[in-house]
Amino acid sequence: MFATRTEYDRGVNTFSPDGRLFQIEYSLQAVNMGSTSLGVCTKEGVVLAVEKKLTSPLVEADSVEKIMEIDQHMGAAMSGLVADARTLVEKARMEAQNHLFTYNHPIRVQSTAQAISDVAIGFGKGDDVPSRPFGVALLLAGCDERGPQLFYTDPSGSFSKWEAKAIGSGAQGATNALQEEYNSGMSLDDGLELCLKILKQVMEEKIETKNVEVAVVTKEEGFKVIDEEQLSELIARVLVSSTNI
Amino acid sequence: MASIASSEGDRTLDPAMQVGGAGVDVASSTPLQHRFSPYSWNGGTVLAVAGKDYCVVATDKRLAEGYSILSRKIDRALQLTDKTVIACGGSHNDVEALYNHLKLRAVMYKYNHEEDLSTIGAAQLLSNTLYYKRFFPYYALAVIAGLDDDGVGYVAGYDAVGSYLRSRDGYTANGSAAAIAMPILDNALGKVGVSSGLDEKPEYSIADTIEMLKDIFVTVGERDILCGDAVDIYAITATGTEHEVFELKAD
Repeated sequence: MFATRTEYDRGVNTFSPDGRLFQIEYSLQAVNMGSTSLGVCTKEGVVLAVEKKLTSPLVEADSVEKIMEIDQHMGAAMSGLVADARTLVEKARMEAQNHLFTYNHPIRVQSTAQAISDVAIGFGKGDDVPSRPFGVALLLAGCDERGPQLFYTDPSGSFSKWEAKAIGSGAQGATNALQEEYNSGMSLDDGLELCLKILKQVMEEKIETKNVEVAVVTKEEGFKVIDEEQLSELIARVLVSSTNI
Repeated sequence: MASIASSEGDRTLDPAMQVGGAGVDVASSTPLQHRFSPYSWNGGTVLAVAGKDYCVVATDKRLAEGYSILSRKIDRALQLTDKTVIACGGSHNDVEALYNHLKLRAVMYKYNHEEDLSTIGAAQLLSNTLYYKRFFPYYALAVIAGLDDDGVGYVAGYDAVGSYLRSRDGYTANGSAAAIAMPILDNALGKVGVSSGLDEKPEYSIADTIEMLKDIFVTVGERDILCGDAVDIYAITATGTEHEVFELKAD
């Protein structure tokens, strides 16, 4: 019995004989099918950029939110099941506020990534978490005493720190582009431009202010979503520079 | 009570034992009172002075109760981290229980966040810890002393339910002889109530500050019977904390 993979991919708590948890692997697949999210860490701050896949031209673009603030100094971009991300973001926000209340000091980005991962692997263990793994990965950007930082958290409950990271359906192409063009000395502006340039490459739709969302986290101003005016300016800049090449 | 309880006959005659009993004249009976005294007042004086890049906290080692001296060498101060020391007057049982809790929290903080709990973090944590027992407080009159995130001396004083204030003038006193010591500190270090009209806070070296605190303890030890025996002095700088014991009169 249990000869095939299909026998082992039912329960979330059953290892296959070769040591795999298929449900968690499938949840990682849900992330790979999600819209593309990018994060780029520079010395001046961190950039988050996501593609907003609008299901219909009648959807109000503003109502689709894939980058969320966690605290004044931190935000997260998501790929996968956006509804699942809300649970994680809510937990991260609570953890951040609780830390501020207890220690009168903003929470570290790494501690927040740890808190998110704790919830991610805690599926099935409470009333406010799903019985299956979370189908979403987050790019967590923030600034603290250790400087600007970018963390990646996934449904398996692990997290890692990155200089630049792409997740979602366009991750493969975007990762190649990041490896080509990222350097740790780049300015925040260069980071913004790089993110939009790569998004433009990997998106199926033509890039415009409605179908991308961009945010930055800096030491000075904390988490800020780039407004439409600034975004259209950035997109214009990226379009011009790419036609020049 | 021993004689009353010595025989069954006596017990039935004791009006205090019959409150609420059938057929008892309630008006003439004395209610049986139960008392619970979880607190002692064991004295303990804490003085702390902050400088630009250091902090000194001093607390006496006498454990007293009423006219008795229970010990001449107890530790009232807790070295919580490399940069933070807490010291408390009050009920020493509560002080120790509070310290055990704070030690645990500081260790867990380091595991969870991969760095020491900061002085400012410890200050807020202490406040919350005290306030969470708002209706059965720790009898601990705390002073926290250390260096803040910029390496500047930090001192704050607390009441028993967690209200705290970082001293803007860089000194504070708490516990048994606080009311005697505070005007001395005001005169030496403060800007208020000084007839010479100082408008700049004097900045003493760490060695001078330690000498001053020793002098103050010698002085208040003559006036406060709960204060004496010896003083634990912790000098906190960026390079670490130095501890010394200064002997007072053991009378």
